[in-house]
Amino acid sequence: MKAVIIGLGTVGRALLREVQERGHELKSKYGLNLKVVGVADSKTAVYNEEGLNIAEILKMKERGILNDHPNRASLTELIKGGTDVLVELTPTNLKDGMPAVRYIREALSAGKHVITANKGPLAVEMPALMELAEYNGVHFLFSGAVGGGTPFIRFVSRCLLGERVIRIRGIINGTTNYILTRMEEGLSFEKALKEAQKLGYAEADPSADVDGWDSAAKLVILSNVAFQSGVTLRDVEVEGIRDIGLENVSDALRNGETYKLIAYSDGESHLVKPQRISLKSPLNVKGALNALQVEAEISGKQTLVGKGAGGRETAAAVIRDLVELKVRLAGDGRCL
Amino acid sequence: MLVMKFGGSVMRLPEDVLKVIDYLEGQGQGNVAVVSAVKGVTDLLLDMAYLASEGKEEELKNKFLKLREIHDEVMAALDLRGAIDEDLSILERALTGIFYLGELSPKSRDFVASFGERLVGNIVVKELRRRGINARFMMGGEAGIVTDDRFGDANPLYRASEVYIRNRLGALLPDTLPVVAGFTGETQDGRVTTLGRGGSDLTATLIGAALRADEVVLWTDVDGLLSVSPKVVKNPRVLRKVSYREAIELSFFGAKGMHPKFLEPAMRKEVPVRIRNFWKREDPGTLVSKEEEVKEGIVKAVGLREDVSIITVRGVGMIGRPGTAGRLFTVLGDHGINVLMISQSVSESSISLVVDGKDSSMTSNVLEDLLLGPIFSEISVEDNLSVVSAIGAGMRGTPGVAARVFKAVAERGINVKMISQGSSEINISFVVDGKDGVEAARAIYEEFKL
Ligand SMILES: NC(=O)c1ccc[n+]([C@@H]2O[C@H](COP(=O)([O-])OP(=O)(O)OC[C@H]3O[C@@H](n4cnc5c(N)ncnc54)[C@H](OP(=O)(O)O)[C@@H]3O)[C@@H](O)[C@H]2O)c1
Repeated sequence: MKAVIIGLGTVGRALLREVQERGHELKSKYGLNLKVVGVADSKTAVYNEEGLNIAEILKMKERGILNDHPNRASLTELIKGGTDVLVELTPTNLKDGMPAVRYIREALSAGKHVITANKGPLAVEMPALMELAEYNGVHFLFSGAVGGGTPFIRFVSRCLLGERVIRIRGIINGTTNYILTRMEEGLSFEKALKEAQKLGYAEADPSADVDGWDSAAKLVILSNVAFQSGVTLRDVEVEGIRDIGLENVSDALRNGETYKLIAYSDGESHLVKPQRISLKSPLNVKGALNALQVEAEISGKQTLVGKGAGGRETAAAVIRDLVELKVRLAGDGRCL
Repeated sequence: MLVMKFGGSVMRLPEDVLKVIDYLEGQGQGNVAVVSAVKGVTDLLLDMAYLASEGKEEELKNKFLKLREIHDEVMAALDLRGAIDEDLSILERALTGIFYLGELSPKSRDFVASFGERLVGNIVVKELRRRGINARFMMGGEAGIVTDDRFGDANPLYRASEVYIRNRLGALLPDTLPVVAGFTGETQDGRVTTLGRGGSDLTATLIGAALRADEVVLWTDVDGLLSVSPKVVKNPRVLRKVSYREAIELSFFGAKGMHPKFLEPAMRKEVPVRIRNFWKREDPGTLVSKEEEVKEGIVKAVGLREDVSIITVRGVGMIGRPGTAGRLFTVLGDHGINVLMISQSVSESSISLVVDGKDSSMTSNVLEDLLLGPIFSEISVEDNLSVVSAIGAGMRGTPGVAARVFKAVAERGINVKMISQGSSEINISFVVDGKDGVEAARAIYEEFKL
């Protein structure tokens, strides 16, 4: 299978390394013979129909320059050329999803399968992209867009086949959970945020995380998968964690409770809001962990806990999608 | 928030466009207008595209002048000369391309056809802006309507259109008055498509549904949906309230070029649609909504569709053989033949179909060519028939309605040839001889005091 990767940041490079190391295993175990024919970062696109030398790309990228590669090409050539699948790993943009939506739409309309770990395009127009994929008869997979390597999406889409999901609730942003955990331990919001930034959990501009928009974007994705609700970011009521305050956090603790930034959807209403939950709740996870509780019609409440981010972890989700794609194309319906 | 659609039936003459502008000025920003081409302009454009492809320069020039004249008249009245020069020159270049290639692809045909809405839309917007309204013109595609690649009769991709309408058009409200070119959309790669007959109604309901409008108003030149065709009785009553499903049944009986597919988006999101007469603005028209009003009498309306044909396929070999109906309908589907009614005998030895009269000979030819043989051993055709239909949500669960319908018809000595009732029970349809159609419809009209 020929693949093109756009975005060679933390995730893109981790993916290249995994492909390099585990290529053989993927081939012998799943029949996935992956050939990376194109890569691109913000400045340069490189294409070789015969497959690129991954080690060479990684080395160049480490030195910070792709542009002395001999096989330079245009992004359109990459997307519309001889590839089977586009792997889209550019930065998240929750305003209009650019540039990812443009790349994804172009690929879908050219009949290419698409895999992304980018929640931006999904938050802005997921129902549209799903319909375009269907219309063009291609697969569109995005395991890595929620929860990094933790398979939250598959948890709501696949694991409960045959019964209805009633509601989902969870903590789907690691940064805010880290901050709230530190606040439980007595740190002020500002100090906890600084610490999170130092540890690399929070961005220099932390607003997407602390104001709840990152959680809201992921909620949109989970809700569309669980309920086919057709929602986008506009439909989510969002409130962040800036105004909780230490007094409230300690008051909660005295009452056997704690504040969490909870994302909730039942398919009709969608909200992201700080809420007090019992210290004994399975959703009471610490640090940067994520947790998602799914309530199924028959089998009841179940909770999945995992690391919500990480380059290598997210690359694993992309690989999972590549394997899934291979299985689907081979017409082999095994649930992996 | 209202979505207001102004059909070609409203904009017959240049001065009608002025009335529409005045009306929109009164409605103001925060609403959405959908405009159709001035009456006759779409046909004029299609002629021009054809003439260009045939290399008929002289005739093409004349039509182009005529197109210019129609719009010049509006602009002169508004002192807006030159407002559409840019659009006209784009159109001219497109036609030149067609002229030199001598080839008219469905793509270029749609591109040319879309200018009817584009020209009038731009005039409306320029004038509204001059009057201080923040109006903005948008082609259907710009407003968010994405379609498949069936140029000339494109179908919207509903979920995608909903998202894009909200992201693009919705984002402009409430401080804009978007004026959208009805009937137009675009493919995923940005080519202009047209939505086929009645397309502007669909444009309006797509937008209304996506933006959860308070109401979609379809301004026309009729008072609303009628309880019966004026052909059957003079001055029939206007229906004040009907449900989506009743309206779908009614639109089949040719309530002026309405295509039932336009109701689908409104029905899905339960957005009310109102059909009103632009020249009688005090009249509330017909409201189409979710509610099924059953009290108003059991049968609400009677439909009459003339010039239909019954095609009957017989064969003892069909009995107990699975898949025969499937073969029949596959053949019909492959040839784009639309079947209006179906009935099969219990013995399975015959299937009768009702098709539009204009499809009759093609249907029988196709069936003879492809199916006639040991299984389908006989194909017969009966032309010049009429379908009459009693419609009303109140029929469901009310016993004896069918008996009243058929008794009324029988009392006038009319012979019924075929009957079908949808399992939704909101209509009973039957076929009679063409000469009896009007009389049968009148019988029901009188029986139920419509
Ligand atoms: N990191 C995680 O833990 C994680 C987890 C889940 C999901 N994700 C998602 O995965 C995606 C990638 O994350 P990341 O951490 O790898 O981001 P990153 O380190 O910021 O890398 C982004 C890459 O995209 C390239 N890029 C930027 N603008 C571009 C454009 N216009 N055209 C083509 N390429 C462009 C950048 O090019 P340059 O190299 O030239 O700057 C860079 O290589 C994001 O959407 C993110 O939200 C990440």
